[in-house]
Amino acid sequence: MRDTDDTRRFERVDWDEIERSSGVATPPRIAFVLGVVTLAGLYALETSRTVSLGWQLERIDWVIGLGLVVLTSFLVVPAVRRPDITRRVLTRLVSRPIHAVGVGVFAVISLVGIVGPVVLSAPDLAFEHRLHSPYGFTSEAGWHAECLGEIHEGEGITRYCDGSLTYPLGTNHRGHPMGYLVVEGARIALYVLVFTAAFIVPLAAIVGVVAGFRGGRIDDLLTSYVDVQLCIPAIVAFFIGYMYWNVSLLLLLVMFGLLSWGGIARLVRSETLQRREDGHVLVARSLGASPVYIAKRHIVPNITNTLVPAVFHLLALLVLVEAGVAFLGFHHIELYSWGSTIQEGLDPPVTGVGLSMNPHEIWWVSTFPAIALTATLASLKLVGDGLRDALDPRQNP
Amino acid sequence: MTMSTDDTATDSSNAATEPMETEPLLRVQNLRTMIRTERETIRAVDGVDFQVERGETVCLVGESGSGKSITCETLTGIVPQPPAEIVGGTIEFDGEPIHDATESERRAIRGSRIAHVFQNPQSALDPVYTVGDQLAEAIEIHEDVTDTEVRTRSVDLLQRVGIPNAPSRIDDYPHEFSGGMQQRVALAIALACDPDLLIADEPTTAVDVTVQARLIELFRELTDGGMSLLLVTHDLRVVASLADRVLVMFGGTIVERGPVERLFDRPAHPYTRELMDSHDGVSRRDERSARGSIPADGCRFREECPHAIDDCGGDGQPDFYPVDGRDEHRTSCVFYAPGRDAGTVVEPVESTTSDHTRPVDGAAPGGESRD
Repeated sequence: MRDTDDTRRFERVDWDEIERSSGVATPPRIAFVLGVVTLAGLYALETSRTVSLGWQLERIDWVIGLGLVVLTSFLVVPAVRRPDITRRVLTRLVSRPIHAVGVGVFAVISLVGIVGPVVLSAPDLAFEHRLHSPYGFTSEAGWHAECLGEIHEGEGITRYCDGSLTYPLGTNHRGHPMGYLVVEGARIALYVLVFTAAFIVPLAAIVGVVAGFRGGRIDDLLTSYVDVQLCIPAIVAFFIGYMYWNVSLLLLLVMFGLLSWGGIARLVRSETLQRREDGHVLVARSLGASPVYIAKRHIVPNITNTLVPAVFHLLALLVLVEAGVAFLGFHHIELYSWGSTIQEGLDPPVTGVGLSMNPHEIWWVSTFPAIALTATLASLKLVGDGLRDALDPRQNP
Repeated sequence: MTMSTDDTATDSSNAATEPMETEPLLRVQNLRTMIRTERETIRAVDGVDFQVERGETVCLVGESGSGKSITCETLTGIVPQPPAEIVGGTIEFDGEPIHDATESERRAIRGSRIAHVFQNPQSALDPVYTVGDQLAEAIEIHEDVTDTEVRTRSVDLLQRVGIPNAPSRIDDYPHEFSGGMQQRVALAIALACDPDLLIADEPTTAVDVTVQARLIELFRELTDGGMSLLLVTHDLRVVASLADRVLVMFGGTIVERGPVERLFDRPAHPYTRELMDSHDGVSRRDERSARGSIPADGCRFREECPHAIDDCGGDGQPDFYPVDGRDEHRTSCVFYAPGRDAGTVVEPVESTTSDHTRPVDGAAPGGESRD
C-alpha cells in the first residue's frame, strides 16, 4: 500500500488513506491486537506454572501492561506514522522555556520510574543501617547499629554519624535507601498515570463526545449517568472496597479512576455541542463523511484546547490522590508510594530501639519523596499547558 | 391535508413529464421540511418543486428565512435532524430517486456527485488541518487513490480555483489564508470529486466585492464545463450575472420561476416585484418581527401584498399560472389565473406613498409594512 520511494509528505497522506479506506485493519488496531495477544500469551505462560519466567508480577502489573499496549497502539504508533506532525508538536511543545522545563522534569521522572525499578533490585531489610543521613549531612549515631560514615562527637554524650556514599540520599527507619524509595514511588506514580491515560481518559472522552454529538436520548442517558456518578464519593467507595478486598493499588485506581471521569466527560460534551455546529462539520457532512469519522477527525482534534489541560489535571489529581491515600496508610505494604514514605518521615514509627525523634531530625525521609511528588505534579501541569498550545496550529510557536 | 401542490407539480413541469431527450439532473417535487422546536413547528420548506438541467445555473432567491438554505440542505439530507424533519416530497437525481435513500447511500452521493459550498468561509475549513489535508480528505472519502495522485489532484484543484503558488500553499493552515482565499479553498474542496451538481449557499455574501467578482467568474467557468449549479443568494447582481433560471422563494414556497431575463424584465409575483424594487439598496420593508407572522397556507405573501384578495387564502399555495402565456415563466399568484387581470399586480405601485389603499379588507394590520 505504501510507496516507499515517495517523500515523507506523501507517506503522511498515505497514512490517512490507510486509516480511512481500509476500515477495520488500521495500524493502531493491528498494534493493539498484537499487543493484547502477546500480553495474553505471557500471562498464560506465567500462570500455567509449567514455565516460570521468574517474574514476580501482580495483577496490577498485567493491567498496567495492558494500559501500555493501549497507549503504544493509539498514541505512539500514530505518532511514529506521522513523524512530521510529531516533530512539529514536539518542537512547539519545548519552544517556551517554562514548558520545556516541565517536559524535561516529566521525562526524567518517567525515565526514573521505568528504568529505576529494572536496574535497582529490591534491597534487603537492613535495620542496622536505618536512618542514615544523606551524604554530606549527619544524623544521630545511636539510631543505627552500624554507622557507615565518620562518627564524631557532639555536645554532651550525643555522637553524630556522617552520611556515606553507600546511601547517598540516606535511609529510612527500615534501612531502605531513600534513592530506592523515590524510584519506587516514581514507578507507582507512572502506574497511576498509565492507568488513567489508557483507561479513564478514553472512557471520559468517548462518553462526552458520544453524548454531545449524538444528542437526544443517548445524551440524556449518559449525562444523567455521569451526574449520578459524580455524586458518589470515591473515597467512600474505596473504603467499602477496602473492607471486602485486600487493599491494593488496583482497587484504588479502579475506585478513584472510574469515579473521577465525570467532570471531563461533561466538559467534552459541552465542547462537542459547540463544535458540532461548526461550519467545517457541516462541510464534512456535505462531503459524505460518516458521523464516527467526523467525531474522530473533526470534533476531537478541535476540543484539545479544553480536553488536554483537563486530562493533565486529572492525571495530577490521581497521582496526588494515590499519594494521599498512601499517606493515610491505606496502601499495599510492599508498594513504596511517595505518600507512604512522606508519612514515615513525618511521623517516624518508634519501633525497635524505642527511640523517638523529631521529623526535622530525619528530614530526608519526607523531603525527597515530597520534592519528587511536587515536581511530578508541577511538570504534569506544565506539560498539559504546553501540549494544549502545541496542538493548536493557530497559536504561533 | 389537501394540498394543491401535486397539481402544481404537474402543472409546472409539463415539459418534464413529457418524454424528453435528456432527463433533468435534479428534479424536486413537493419537498417539505419542517423544523420542530419546543414552542412551534415551522414549515420551513412547504411544497417546493423545481428542476435543474445539466449544465444549468438555477438561482434560488428570496429574503432570509424564506427557506432557501433548508431547501438546499434537504436535497442531500445534511439538514440537522432533529430539529428539522423532512416530511415529504420526492427528489430525483440523475433519474434516481434519492429522497428515500439510506443514509449511507446519501453519503455516497454527497461530495462525489452533489457538493455544497457554504456562506461562511472562515468556519468552512477545519482549523487544525492544512488545506492539503482537507482536500485529501474530500478526495479520499469517495475514492481509493494513491497518495501521489491525491497530492497532484489537490494542487490542481487549488490552481483551478485560482490560488496562486498552490504547490507551496497546500501545506498552509486555513488561518494563513484570507477570507476570499478560504472561500476558494472551500470551493476546491467541494470540487474535489468533480460533482455533477454544486449547491452554493450564498457563497459570495461573506466576501468583499472584488472577491465576489472573481468567484462569479469561477462559477461561470465551472458551469461552462458542464456542471450544474444551484445557487442560493439574495444578491440580485449575482443572479443577473450567473443565472439561467431563477426561483423566487417566500415563506417556504416558490412563488415565481422563470428565465432570468424574463424575471428581471417582467417580474410577475407581487413579492418578486417588491424584491426587485428593494434592490436599489434601500429596503422599504421592515424586519420580519415587525410584520407579524407569515401565513402557513394559501399565498404566503398575502398579509403583505398590496393586492391581496380573498382568493389568496385557502389550503395550498395558488397554482402556477403562465405569465404572458409563456410556459417557462410561471408564478403562483391568483391574478395570473385565466380570466383575471394580471395588470392589477403589474401596475406600478407607488411604493413611496404611505397611504395607498388596499383593494381588500381581509389583510391584517400587521401586514401594513410600508411607510
